Amino acid sequence: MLLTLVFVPFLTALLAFLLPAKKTRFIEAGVIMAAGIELALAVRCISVIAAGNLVRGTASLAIDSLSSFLILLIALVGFFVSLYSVGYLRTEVGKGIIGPRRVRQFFILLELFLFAMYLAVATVNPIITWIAIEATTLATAFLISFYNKPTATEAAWKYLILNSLGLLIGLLGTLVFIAILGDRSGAAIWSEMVASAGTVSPAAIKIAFVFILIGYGTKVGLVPLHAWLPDAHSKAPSPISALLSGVLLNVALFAVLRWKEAADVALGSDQFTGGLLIFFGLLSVFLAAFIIFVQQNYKRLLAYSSIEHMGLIVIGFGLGGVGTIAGLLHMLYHALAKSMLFLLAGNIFLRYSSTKLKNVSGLIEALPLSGPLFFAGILMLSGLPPFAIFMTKSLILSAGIAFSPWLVGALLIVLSVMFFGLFRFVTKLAYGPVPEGIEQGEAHFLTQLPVILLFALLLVLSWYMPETLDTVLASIRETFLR
Amino acid sequence: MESQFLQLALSLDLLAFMAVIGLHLVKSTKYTVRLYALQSVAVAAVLVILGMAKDEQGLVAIGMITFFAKVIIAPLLFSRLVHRFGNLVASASYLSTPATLAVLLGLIVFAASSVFDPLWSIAAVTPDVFVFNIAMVLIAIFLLINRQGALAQIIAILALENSIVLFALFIGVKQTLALELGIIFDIVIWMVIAYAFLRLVYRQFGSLDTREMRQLIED
Repeated sequence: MLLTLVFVPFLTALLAFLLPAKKTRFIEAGVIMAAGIELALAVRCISVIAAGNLVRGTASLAIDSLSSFLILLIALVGFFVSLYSVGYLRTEVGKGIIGPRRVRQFFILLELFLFAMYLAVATVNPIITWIAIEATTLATAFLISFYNKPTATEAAWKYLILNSLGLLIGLLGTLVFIAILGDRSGAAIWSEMVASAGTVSPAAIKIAFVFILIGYGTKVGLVPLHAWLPDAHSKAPSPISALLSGVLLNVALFAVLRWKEAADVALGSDQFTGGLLIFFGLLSVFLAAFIIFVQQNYKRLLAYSSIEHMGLIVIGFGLGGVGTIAGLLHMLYHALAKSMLFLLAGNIFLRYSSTKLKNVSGLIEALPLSGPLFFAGILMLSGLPPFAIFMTKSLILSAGIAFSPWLVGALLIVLSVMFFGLFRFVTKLAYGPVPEGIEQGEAHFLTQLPVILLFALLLVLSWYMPETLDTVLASIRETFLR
Repeated sequence: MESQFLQLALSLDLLAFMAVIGLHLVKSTKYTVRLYALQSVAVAAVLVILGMAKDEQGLVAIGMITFFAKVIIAPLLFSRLVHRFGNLVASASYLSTPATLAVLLGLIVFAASSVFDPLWSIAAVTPDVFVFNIAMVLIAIFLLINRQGALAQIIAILALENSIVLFALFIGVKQTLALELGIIFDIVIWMVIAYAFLRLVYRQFGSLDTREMRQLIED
């Protein structure tokens, strides 16, 4: 089951590569079918894990609660993005922006990107995780520069260089960790390293964790290592931005959390790793909140909002206890909400042909479905009740009171500033006159269906958490409490 | 016999270290590529020598693949680029040579400082060798920060990767052959993508000087 789940995207990429570019419909069908299979298998995996069983593929592929949760996130967002991409690219082909060859190239890279993410979280070997996360950089670099415009190339260049630097530092941290914890023969696996973590030098562990945090933290987009993120997320085609913001950041965080688990056992407490996560998390939230006010581009705005939310998630994990559960839930809700917003941003772009705030107004009138959903999505993301992000933000803040009430006060103010900033920009986009020459109405049916489904899923999950998922989340929390 | 092999490996480690220092000092892109090739020769040779010393055929094979990928393929690709774009391939630094040397000295002192003392316990070699390797990693990171040219930045990333490979070898971390191949495969793909990007950057900006990339600011 796990082997199939991981390799289905790879085989789909291979299939798309072998098919002639003109057979676009076959490629699209293959991509949607693959996404459906992956989602079904991911749901099956999480049910098996929730029942207390192990899911094992090969000697190097096996998943626990945390991996199964991440796999579900990738499969969910991957499914909606695959569906949406078909409609989005058909519209672009219709406008003459791209041809069938580019469509095929897009789907090959998309599937390789998904394959690398599944592999990163499904493997038990930290080196394979590193290889797979590095592979995500390689698969996405050409997706970011997909439109071949100088701005996109520049964004992709920044992404390639900064992430490669970060990941090499991450590799250094991984090797130091392996040298300290594992047997050095190369057979090191996560669980064995956690088990052997009790007998090592705390100071060496601290250095290794700093390398890991700087390395993978660059990919998570934590401030001050975030410079690539707003450019890459805003210049990539919208479905790719949805995957980058919704899932890739969490996959990189997965690596940090794995090492955090080992480091906490070695250090005998989560004070050191937690303190670092809280520090970088706060820095991210604070910077993102204030920089939002000077943004001129709605996709960049969403990208900065991702920095804020990743900051909140790592604060949750840094605080531990309730914060861990809040961080996990926030991961889920943010992944879905941000993916939905980026897909809606794609619909806005298809209609207005611009990502600049000054060129977009009257969204609700021009896009009768995407406009209101975008408005609601922003409110959801800002943490307005009764949406789930309100609950997770409140949980993170309440977990923080024991750490420092003053800090929670400051965080509350910053989150209010963020809400004000987002609200100001979304009202400007939603209302006002529709610019001249902009037709009213949505684009392709497949650009609407995924966002409706995502919105419905978010609403349902705001009020009802399936028992299976609840069990898995509780199990992850136990892991971090150990 | 094994200690002779180790001595040879340590000499090659020193050669790699000198090559990274040299990368900071040369101004010509042609020599930048050559110095990277020299550092890669040292890495490949260390892999082969340690493999022979420990009778590990896998390590010897990895050394040979490293030689092929980093000493033959990569310099060939980059030399083609230099040949094609000539003087437009910028290789200048942000800092002047004296300032660069001062920073290099600072990094070496930092690598030798007590900050990294806790890591000595994991080193399979003497502390001074360990300091060399830590310093090499830091100097390679600084190379990336200090260079303006896109090609020089790519070489800085590859030099950093070489430095990390040496670091791993001297702290005694081994990986299975499959994993080593995975890492090398990743790096080779990375080189090819970086090469394609260099051409793309040149086509769109008319230069490989990263200071010319100002479209995002103006956007």
